[in-house]
Amino acid sequence: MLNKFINTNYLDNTENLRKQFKNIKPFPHLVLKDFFNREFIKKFKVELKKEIFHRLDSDLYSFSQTDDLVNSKNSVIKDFYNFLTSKEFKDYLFKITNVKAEGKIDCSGFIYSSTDYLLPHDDRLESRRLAYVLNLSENFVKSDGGSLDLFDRNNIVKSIVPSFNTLTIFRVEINKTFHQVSEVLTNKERLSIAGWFND
Amino acid sequence: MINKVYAQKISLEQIKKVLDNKNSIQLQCFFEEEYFNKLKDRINKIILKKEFIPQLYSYSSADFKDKDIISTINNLISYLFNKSSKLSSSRIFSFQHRDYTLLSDSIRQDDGVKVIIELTDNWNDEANGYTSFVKDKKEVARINVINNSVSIIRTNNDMRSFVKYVNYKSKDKKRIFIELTYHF
Repeated sequence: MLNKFINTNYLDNTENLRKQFKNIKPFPHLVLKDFFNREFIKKFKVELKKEIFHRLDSDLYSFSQTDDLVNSKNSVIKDFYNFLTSKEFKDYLFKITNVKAEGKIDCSGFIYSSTDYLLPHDDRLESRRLAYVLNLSENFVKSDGGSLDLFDRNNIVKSIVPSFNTLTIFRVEINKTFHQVSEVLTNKERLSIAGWFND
Repeated sequence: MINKVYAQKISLEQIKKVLDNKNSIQLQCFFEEEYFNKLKDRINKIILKKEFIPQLYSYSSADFKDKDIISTINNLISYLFNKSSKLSSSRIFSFQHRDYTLLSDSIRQDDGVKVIIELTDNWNDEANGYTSFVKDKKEVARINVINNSVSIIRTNNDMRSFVKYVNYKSKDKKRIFIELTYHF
C-alpha cells in the first residue's frame, strides 16, 4: 500500500530521514517535498474542496476548517484517510521519526484566506505525538505569507513556504515546539490538511 | 477637559444604568477636542518598549503617569460604581501590524474596572486589533477602535481579555490607547 500512495523515492531512504528528523533544529521535524503520489493528491485536492469549511475565529486563529475527515462520505478522501491511519503508514512514520503514535489521528482540511493566521502555540495536548501538515496550495511565494514558522524561544528560525504536495511533520513537545502559520498577505488561498498522530 | 455632556448628572445616571445592565459602555467624544489633541501629542512623544513573548503577546508599551487624567477617571469610576477603587496599573499600549495578545489562564481580570482611552484616528476596522473581553468562552464585550472614546468595562475574576491580531489592512497605522485598571 505504501507504494500506491507515497513517492517511492522516500521508501528506500528511511535511515537518512530518521537522522535528519533527530538532528534538525529548532526541534525534530521533516519537510518532505513531493511526498505523496502526485496524481492521487491532485484528485484528493479537488475532492477536499467539495467539503464544507466552517469559518473559525478566536484570539489564536482565523481560518476555515472542515469537520474531521474521518466523517467524510467522499470515497477519495476516505481512501486517503484510511491510508494515513493504516498500520503500514504509522510503522513507516515510526521508522523515520522514532516517535510512537499508534492511536487515532486527527485530520481536517484548512483554508487560510487573505489576513488569516494561526498564532504561536505548541499543540499541547497530552495524547498528541506527531503533528503534520500536507500543503495543497500552489504558486505560493514567501511574500504571500502563509508560511509555517518554527520558533526557537522568541525567534522564528525556520519558515516553510507552502508548496503543493509537501508534507511537514514534527514532534509535539509541551512548551518547546512553538510554531505558527503566518498571516496570508495575498488573495491566494492556502489549502492544506493537518492534524496529529496520537499515542 | 471632559466633554461637558459627561459632566451632566442626567448623562451620568444613564451611563450608570447601561453599566448595570451590560457591564460595559463606550463613551464617544469623551474629551474636549483641544485637550484631546494635546494629550495625543504628549503620548506620541513617549518612547514605547517592544514586548514580545510569542505564545502570549506582541505589542509596545510604557507607563502612563498623567495624574490629571488618572484622578479624573478615578473620580468618574467611584461615582459610577458608588464605591472607592484603587488603581492597579496605568499603561500606554501601541499595536501595529502583526501585534496581538492571547488569552492566558494565568492572566485574569481583577474584580474591578478596566478603562480604555482610545487615541487612534482613522482606524480601518478590517484590520481588527479590537479588544475582546471573554467569559466562559463567550465574548461579553468588544471594544472597537474609536478615536477619543473612553470604554468602561466592569471586570471580574472569571473574565479574560485579548487584543485581536492586527492584520496587514492596518498598513502603517498603529492603534494607541491608554489602559487604566482599577480594583475594588
